Order: sequence, then C-alpha cells, then structure tokens
Amino acid sequence: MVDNFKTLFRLYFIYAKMDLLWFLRDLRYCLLFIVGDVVSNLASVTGVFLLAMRFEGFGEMNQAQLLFMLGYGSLVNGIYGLFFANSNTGMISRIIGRGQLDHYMIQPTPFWIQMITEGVAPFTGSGVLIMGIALTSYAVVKLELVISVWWICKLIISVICSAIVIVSCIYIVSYLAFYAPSAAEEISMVVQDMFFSLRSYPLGGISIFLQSLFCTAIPIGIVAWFPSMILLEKQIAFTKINGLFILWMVTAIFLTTAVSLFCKGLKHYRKNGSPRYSSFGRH
Amino acid sequence: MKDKIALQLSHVTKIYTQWQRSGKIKDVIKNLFAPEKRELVALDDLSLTIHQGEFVAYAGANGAGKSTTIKILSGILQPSQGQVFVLGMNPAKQRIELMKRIGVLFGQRTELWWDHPVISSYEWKKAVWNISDEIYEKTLKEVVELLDLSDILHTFSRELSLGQRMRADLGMMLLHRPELIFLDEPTLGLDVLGKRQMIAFLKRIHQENKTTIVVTSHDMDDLEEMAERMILLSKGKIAFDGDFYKLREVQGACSRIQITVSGKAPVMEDMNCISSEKNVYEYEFDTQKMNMAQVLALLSKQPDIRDIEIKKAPIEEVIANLYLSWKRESINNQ
Amino acid sequence: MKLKPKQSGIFATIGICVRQIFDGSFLFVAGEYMVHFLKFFILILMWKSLAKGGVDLNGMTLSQLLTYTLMASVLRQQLEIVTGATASLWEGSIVGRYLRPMPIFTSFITETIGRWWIPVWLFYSLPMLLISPLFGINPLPSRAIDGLLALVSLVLSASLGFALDFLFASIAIRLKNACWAANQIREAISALLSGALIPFAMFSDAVGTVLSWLPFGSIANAPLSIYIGTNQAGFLIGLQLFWNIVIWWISVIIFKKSEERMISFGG
Repeated sequence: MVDNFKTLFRLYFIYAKMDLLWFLRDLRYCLLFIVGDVVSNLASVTGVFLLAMRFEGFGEMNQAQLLFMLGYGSLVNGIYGLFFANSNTGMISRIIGRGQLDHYMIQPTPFWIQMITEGVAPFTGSGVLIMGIALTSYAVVKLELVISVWWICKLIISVICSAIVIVSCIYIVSYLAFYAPSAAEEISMVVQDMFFSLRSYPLGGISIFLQSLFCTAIPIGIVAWFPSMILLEKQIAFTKINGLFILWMVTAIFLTTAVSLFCKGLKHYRKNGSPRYSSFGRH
Repeated sequence: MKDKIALQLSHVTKIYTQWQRSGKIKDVIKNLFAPEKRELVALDDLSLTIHQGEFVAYAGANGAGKSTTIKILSGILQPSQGQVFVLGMNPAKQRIELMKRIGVLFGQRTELWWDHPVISSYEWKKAVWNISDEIYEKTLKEVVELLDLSDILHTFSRELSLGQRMRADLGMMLLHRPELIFLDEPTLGLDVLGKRQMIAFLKRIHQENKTTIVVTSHDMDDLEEMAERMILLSKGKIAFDGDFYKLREVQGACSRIQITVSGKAPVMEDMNCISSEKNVYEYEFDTQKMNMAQVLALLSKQPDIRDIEIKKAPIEEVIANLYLSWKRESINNQ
Repeated sequence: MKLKPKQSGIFATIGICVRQIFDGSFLFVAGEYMVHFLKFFILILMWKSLAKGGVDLNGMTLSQLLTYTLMASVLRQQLEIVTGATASLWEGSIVGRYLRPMPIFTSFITETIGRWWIPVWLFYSLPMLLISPLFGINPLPSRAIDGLLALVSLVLSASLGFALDFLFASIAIRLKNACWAANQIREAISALLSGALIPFAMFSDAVGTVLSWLPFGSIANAPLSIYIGTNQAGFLIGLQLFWNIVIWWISVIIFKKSEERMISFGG
C-alpha cells in the first residue's frame, strides 16, 4: 500500500512536469486548448445565465443562486479537466475501443494508479477551474454568504464527489466498449456531453420523483444543482436526510459500480483481447 | 545460463470469438439485437520452452498466432487453456512484477510520448518503472551510444522518421535492463539501413548482456541473420522448431548453382534448371542426393564455363514452399 | 430503373455507412440516443416549469415552445452538421476520398447522410415524433404552409451547415494540433448561437435579434421558428439564402486553397 502511494505521487510529479514542459514548448497550442476549454464552458453556462437574466431567475433559484450553481458546475468541470484532461483517461472508451489498453498492461504499475495519474494537467487543464473559482467567488459575494472553514471544506468535498460521479458514470457506460470497441469507442464523449450540457439547469421546478431520479439513477443533478442546494442551505424537496450524506452515498455507489465493472471488462479484455488497434489520440 | 528456463508454455490454447457480418440489410437488422459469432482457434495446444540467453525467431504466416503468443507471454492476454510461466512467474497473476523484468516492443506501436522530445519519454519511463538514477544514467549512456540516439534525443517523437522512432523505442524498452525481451515485427517498414542497424544492435545486446530475445517477423532473411533458433507456427501449432540449417533440410535441402558459359547451355544431369538469362543458368540440386564431389565432376565435363557460384536456397523461398505445402495439406484435409 | 454509375456510387457510400453504424449491437448506438432524449426531456421540464410560474415567453405559447424543442431534437443531425472532413484531415484518411470517382464534397455529404442522418432518423427522430403526444407536445407545424416553408428552410439550413463545416475543415488544417481545441470552441458556440438549444425568443429582445442575424442563427432558429409559425418566413428564408451564398463562396475558395496542404498532410 505504501509502495502504491509512493508510485502515485511519483507519477503525479512526472505527469505534472510533462504537462508543464508541454505548456512551455507548445505555448501557442496550449493557450488555444485552454481558451477552447474556457469558451466551451462559458458557452454551456451562458444559455442558462441569459435565461436567468431574462426571467430574473428560474427553477426556484434567483439570479445569484443560479450563478453560484453555474460556478459550482464549472468547478466540477475544472477538477475533471485538471485530473483527466490528458491522454484520454477521462474518455476511457476511446482507450478501450482503440485497443490501447495494451500499452497500460505493459507498465509495472496498478491500473488504478495509471488511470488517475496519466491525465493530470495542472498547467494546461486548469483554465476551467480558474473560471469556476472566479464565478463561484463572484456569486458568493453577490449572495453575501457567510463563509466558514467548514463551508469551504463542504464545498471542496462536494466538488470532488461530483467529479467522481462524472468519472464513474463515464467508466460505467464505457464498459460497453470492452464488448463493442468500434460502436462504443466514443460513448465516453456522449456521457461527458450529457453532464456538461445538462448540469446547468436547476431542477427546482420539476416533480419530486424526477428530482430524486436525477440525483440518483441518472445523476445529472449531483454535478451542480443538488450540492449547490446543500451549500446554499436551501430545502431539498425530495428528502429530509442530510444532503451531504446522500451525496457521499451516491458517490460511493457510482464509484464502486465503476470499479467493479471496469475490472470485469478488463477480465474480458484479457480473455478476448481487442479485435482492433488504432494509435489515434494515444499520448 | 542456457539451462535456466526463461519461458514455458504448456498445452496453451487460445480461442477468440469473432462477430460475423454478411453485409446484407436483413442481417444488419438481425445483428442489432443478436450478432452471429464464431470461434477461432489462434493457438492450439501449444507447448514450448525457451531457455535463458537464447535468441529465438518466432515466425509463421499471417494469422498463425505469433502476436497472440507474445501477448500471452507479456500478460496482455490470458490463454483459454494451459499454463504460462515467464521468468518463473505467471504473467496473468504477477503482471506488475513481471513487467519490471521484461521488455515488450510491438513494431507498429510506439510507447514514446508523441508531443514530447524522446528524452522526456525516457524520463517518464524512469519514473514509471522506478529505475534508480545510477542504472538509468548508465543504461541511457549505453543505448544512446549503441543506437546512435544523440541526434534525436531532443527531437519531438512526432517528428521522427520510422527508423528513428524504432531506434528510440528500442532504446526506451531497454532502459530498465530487461532480462527477456519480446519484439513483435520490429523491422516492419524499416529501410535497408534501418534494418541493418536494428539487427546489429539486437545481436550485440544478445551477445554482450546475454539477454533472452524472442522476435517475430515476416522477413526470413532478417530472422536468419539474427536468431539461432527458429520456431515456425502454423495454425496455432508448432510446425518446426530447430536451427536454420535443419529447416533447409526439412524442405529438401536444396542448394543452387549459377553457371556462366561462353557457348552452349551446360548439361547438368539430376539438376533442375530454374532460370536462364543470356549466358547465365541457375540450377537447383538436392544436397542429400548429390554431394559436392559429384557436382564438381559434373561441372568439369562442361567445356564453356566462365564462372560458377554455389549458394544455399534463399530462406524466403524455403519458408514460402513450407507455407504453400501447409496450405495444400489444409485444403486436402478439408 | 438502372442507376447511373455516379448515383450508384452515392447510394453505395450511404449504404455502407449505414451498415457500419448498425453492424454491432443496438445497445451501443442507443446510448447516444438516450442522452439526446434526456437533453430534450430536461429542456421540456424547464419550459413547463417556467410556464407554470406564469412568465411572459415573448409572445410564444408553451405549446409552440415545446414543439420548437421537439423539432430541434428530432432534426438535430440536420441542424448541427459535422461531417467527417475535419477528422479525416487529422487522421490522414482524406487522401482516400480523393481517389474516389466523386467530388470530395459529395463524398463527405453522402457519408454524413449514411452515418448520421438515416440511422438517427429511423431510430430516434421517427420514434420521438410518434411518442411526442405522450409528453403533451404537438409535433405538427402551426399550418401546412408553415410546414412546407420550414422544409425549404431546413434544406437551406443543412446546406449552410455543410458549407460552415467545410470552411472549418479548411481552417483546421492550418491549426494542426490545435484543431481539436478549435473544434471544441466551434461546437460550443454553434450550440448556443444556432438556437437549437434555447429559442432566441427566450432571450431578451436585443440578444435575440442579434443572434438571429448571425449565420449560426440561420441554421436552427430559422427553420424551427418558421415551423411553429412565430416569425416571418420570407425574411428568414431570404437571410438563409444570403448566408448560403456568402459562406459557400468563402468555403469553396478556402477549401481549394487548403487542398494541397490537406493531401500532403494526409499522405
């Protein structure tokens, strides 16, 4: 276990260093990538923001609360980008579907370490995170929230949980790529797109049944709306249980499912191999 | 050293499942819900032992099971049946430990980081394999010198030619000083000079470091130049295992003689004329039926000889004839 | 009736692309359709929730808004055209398309129709139209003439989508490694500015007007607005014609200029 953690930090260090070197060497491209991420995130929140302006808030949230939710969503997107932006580790169906798992199998490190370290991009993948921090901070000031250390801890934990749910869902659905590498090669993209395009909508005005559905089985609400409601200390209609507890439980269930399905898929991969190989997008 | 076993496959069978597609519209609809499958035997009860320090050529026609064997030996795939031991370890269960001691290189794939200079990929390898500073520095110096990498060490991998990329990949594979290396088609696509460099390097590390090497290729001349032992695979089974001399014997042990004359065509009894162009004639003869003294006696009877050249049958042709005979056998068995 | 070689080439390309998409298990293709359905579902929940609050939808009725969102989802492939041009440039497979006996644009358009239009129409759009009444949505146009005009507008919209895609591919070849970042920006901006996600009528008047004048606005906002009968069809179709002429003209010129670079990059 100690060895694994040593490996984990050694790899985080080398990947962070490689990201910095890439940033310094290919500055023009890297800046365009960062701008691409930020513009893309900005576009995904602008629609809802314009609606909020036009209708002075909606979905049982006012303008400032909606802005906080959009900022929170950006923070989650930023964390996802920070740890999974490089090498398609956040788009695992591409790695599986293109037969590139072979490259991971010849490395003398456990898979989980490879998967959570290889995508880390503290320099080229942090644009959205910075944007998220700025948006959230602005919303906090507008809302005149009283910030305590515990509140900041809750925010950090919630953001990490939301990011874990996104990655877990991507891995759960990408499990299909073990069985249909060609057809499901881009399925991670579909799931990622689902979260990033739907996370911006407040679920306040919809039925309690749908709210609970979107915060459990189809966890779109978990990546922005639900944790924002917890952090803004607003009443969540569908439950009286502590919101943070629900968030942790949902995260734990999705993470466990993702890990067990990935292990099952890996077993299948070792048994059947990949019928195709493409180096496209590798490294 | 050669008494120690480097790897062992015991009764290994590997079966793949393939989806079948007819391409007809009605079948497309059927395939949406219940795709048709068939089983394909890639390795059929294969048993094989390779000792430490051996340089083994592993060859066979397309689809014979070469890459499958390499993938099983390196823990990427698991056999459907049978047991595998590499350096005394089970690749499926002791993958991490094994990877620290072996090196794998697939000719059509690269482990280099595309948007980084070669040296960054080497530093990455040092971190992932946890290579000590001392070994890293020493090995890096060696591979840079042996593979002539100094000019490309600071070049982006994406800007390397295929030959340069292969050299850089090979250098990277050796950084952790593997005891056993698997090379799947390392010379594929390389030009003549690239191949020469690659072969010379592999022979050198085999001789100097006593590294066990298993190499697959379709280029039989390359394999003959590199390896001491040849394992030929046909339909997932070993069809031949021995040295190249023995392989020629299996195929009729034919040698060739090229005769240049100034006048009439020579009359060479018990020999097959396989080509003639202007005054140059090429004959093939069986060395088991006709010894060299008989060949020379026959030549002495020819009046107009200007030049002669005796050579072995090209290994490419020997293998091609073997593949052809297996193909005919397979058709006859059906 | 026997097809001319040119036509049979087009149909063969469309056919093989359709088969390629569906030559696996349906489950894997269905995943993408589920996400699109979810997007549609959440949007209609939002609109219903807004309408329940009694807000002014800029003269649009809830029924029109729902029909707009339904048709945006049903026609999403025609309203968000992304051909294989950029990806083939990146992969280097564009050279193969130059070896086919058909114009390069035809090649990409037929592949798009086979790979995305037909499968999505059969397995997503058609079922969505059939089940839409269950969500309380009327899938029909406001008037028959609006439906016909929306069809004309849709053709112009798809044509404009192809022109913009080819223009983007020609620019992308110059960006090399950064082409994916550019693609990301393009997809994000076009989703917002085309009106496919949120109708322009839902924004403030000034924002809505500016967006509808842009070329992106001619892609989704125009046909969908005509379909639900909220805007002047003549003006929108005229604007679409204008943008078609301008963008195709620029696109062809830049594409021709980039052709040599495309082939040498691919080869």
